Amino acid sequence: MAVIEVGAQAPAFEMTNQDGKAVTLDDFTGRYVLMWWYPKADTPG
Amino acid sequence: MLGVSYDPVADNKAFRDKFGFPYDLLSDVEKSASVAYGAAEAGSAKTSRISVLIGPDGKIAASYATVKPADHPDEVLADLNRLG
Repeated sequence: MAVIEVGAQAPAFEMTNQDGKAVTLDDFTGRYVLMWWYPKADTPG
Repeated sequence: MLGVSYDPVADNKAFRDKFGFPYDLLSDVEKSASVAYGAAEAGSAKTSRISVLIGPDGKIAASYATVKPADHPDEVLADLNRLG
């Protein structure tokens, strides 16, 4: 597994937030967005 | 800022409410985005603890394959300052 390369076009996505609303990459056009992945909610390590 | 995992929506809601995170937690139920960004192997049950900074132009501005939660905010802020 390799994390996506710097300079690459960010892949478009549509995912559901905690309130059941759809969120897409386009929602953040013109702004920086940090996406952080976690293995499972509320777990350490 | 967006948190992403394979967790169901209800788990993310509970996690967010417990800690009062002021940003969205997304459920990648189709697993396609996590694989596309390199946060998980195809077929894996869990995502890795990585993060990716996307610039205003829609390109990857920085990526972090190894995230130490305690140091990570400073690391990202330093990159944002560098990127201007």
